[in-house]
Amino acid sequence: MNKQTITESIRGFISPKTLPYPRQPSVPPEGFRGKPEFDLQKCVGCGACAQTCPMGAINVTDGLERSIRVWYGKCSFCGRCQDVCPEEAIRLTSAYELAVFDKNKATADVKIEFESCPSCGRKFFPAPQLKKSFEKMEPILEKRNISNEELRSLDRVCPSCREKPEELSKRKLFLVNFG
Amino acid sequence: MTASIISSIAFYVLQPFFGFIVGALFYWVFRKIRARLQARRGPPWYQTFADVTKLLFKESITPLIADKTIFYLAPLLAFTGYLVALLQLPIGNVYPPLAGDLIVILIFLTLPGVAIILGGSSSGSPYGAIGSSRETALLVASEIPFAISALVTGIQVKSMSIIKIVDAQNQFGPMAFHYPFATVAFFMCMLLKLGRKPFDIPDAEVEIIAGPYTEYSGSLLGLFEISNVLRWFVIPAFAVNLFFAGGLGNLFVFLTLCLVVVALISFLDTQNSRYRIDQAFNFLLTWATLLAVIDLVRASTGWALW
Amino acid sequence: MLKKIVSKLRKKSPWVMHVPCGGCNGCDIEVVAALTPLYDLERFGTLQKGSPRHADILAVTGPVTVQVKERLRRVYALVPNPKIVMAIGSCAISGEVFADGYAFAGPLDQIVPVDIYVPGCPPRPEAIIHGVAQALARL
Repeated sequence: MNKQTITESIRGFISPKTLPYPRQPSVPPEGFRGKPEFDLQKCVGCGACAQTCPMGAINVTDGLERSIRVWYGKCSFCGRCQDVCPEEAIRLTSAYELAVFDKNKATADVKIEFESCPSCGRKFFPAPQLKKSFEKMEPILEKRNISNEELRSLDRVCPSCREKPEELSKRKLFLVNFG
Repeated sequence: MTASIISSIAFYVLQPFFGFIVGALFYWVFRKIRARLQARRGPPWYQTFADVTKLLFKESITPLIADKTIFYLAPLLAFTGYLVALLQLPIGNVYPPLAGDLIVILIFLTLPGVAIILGGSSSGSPYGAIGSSRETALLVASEIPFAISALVTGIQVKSMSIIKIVDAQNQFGPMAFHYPFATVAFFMCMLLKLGRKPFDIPDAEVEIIAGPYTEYSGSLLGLFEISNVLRWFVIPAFAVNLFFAGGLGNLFVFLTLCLVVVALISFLDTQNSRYRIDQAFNFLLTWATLLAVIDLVRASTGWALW
Repeated sequence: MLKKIVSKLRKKSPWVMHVPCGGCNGCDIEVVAALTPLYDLERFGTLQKGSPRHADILAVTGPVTVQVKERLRRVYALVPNPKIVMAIGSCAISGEVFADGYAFAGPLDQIVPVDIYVPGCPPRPEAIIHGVAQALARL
């Protein structure tokens, strides 16, 4: 009991420093790594986040459509998925109130439809990713004077169908051009 | 005749409830002031009632190796001690029908300490045993200055009836003015009786889990909590009756003086850290006893009175 | 009628016991930080108690290791009913980084029944307070 403790106690008596948390929301600082959420418009379904997650909290399940799901029970909120995503579709927001009664409900997911092969009908590639890669190839194709529609009709075919004789002949055109 | 019987019965029935409710509010005042001095807000006013109710309606588990008789007896003993002391105290203008006696109050105020010792040792856990041994040491050390400073007032008035002590103060002024050393020694022992820093070693410390209370749960712990709530009224009321003229016969002044005592205790609790057991033992046996003995000598020989 | 009053008062006085089960102590620091003056939990009547027999809420943090498993079961049995078990942090929910380790004995709900899960690494003290408030509503 000395002068410092007495003055600090009286100062604390006059103005308490408690945050009024449950009555008023408490905003975390800038750059806080909270709950990761998907932007459904931007995600192309590449699965890079699932490959880079160190905990294995993001899982890709392929069925009739591709489903990418992040489980907060295993997430360590490190932000590697946000760093590696090419489209900035997964973002760590500032939401932190994640308490749940059933642990399987603490998830966020996104569903991406597949592109079907026109010749065999197999679903082999996520559609938005195919569209995005065509968009990215535009400047290169223009330089080489290859039209985009030609490439698109050839690349929509799945890898096993590309080995068929009728498809191989169409592709020889490009081999000659690159020569 | 019948009016006095009815009023006596009313006193003995209503006094415990009054003591419990006012004790709960004083305990809340302590927690609120302590919280505020630590720069935070404190609990709401109904907190003590919620704690006690919750404990009374919880499942009570007894350890297998505990001595069941004494294990169940200990909370009852603590409750009895504070209850009988409560029934002997005058409160403002309400005097107990049977004359309150100083020695009886002092004896019954040692019962809760004994109850903690019994409860801790009978619970069969090492934490309880350590807590009991510490409480024994502190009880021995604190009873001496507590009893001496209380008896000083009795010696001055030449009677052991607490009603006569209060009446004498109405004539000659409060005892705290005439015997300041005894008042200070009594305050130091009051901090221990209420289980506050710097002497709160047996009362729920973090070093030995919960001390003597470790193996208590549910309704037995609820009974200990009720007696802990009662002591927040009994001990300040005892101090005000002995040293501050019992509120001069006015209930409002009495309760205000008790609140001042509680506020002072809360302030001292926040400013100090916990003494070790040997430091507390030495402190009480040297300084507190010295102050009490100075006033004992002054009261019994009539030397240097003012 | 008495039951309603008792259950209402029970929500106003939750006593917490904090059981760290062998993690990195990040969540332990956040639980202790929730008891500091900045996020004062005594406003809601919460006290931190040392003995499991005095507690209503068991706040378990960290992945449960092989050594702590039996002792955690014993502590769980000591808490009198009605009680709440909170799994705080992603390690208690699934083991997170430690899931493939040799000392990991399983996620918390394989050892004791869990009432509420609070994900986070570590969860903010406000998130823990939010979890406590949600669990109390169901007590």
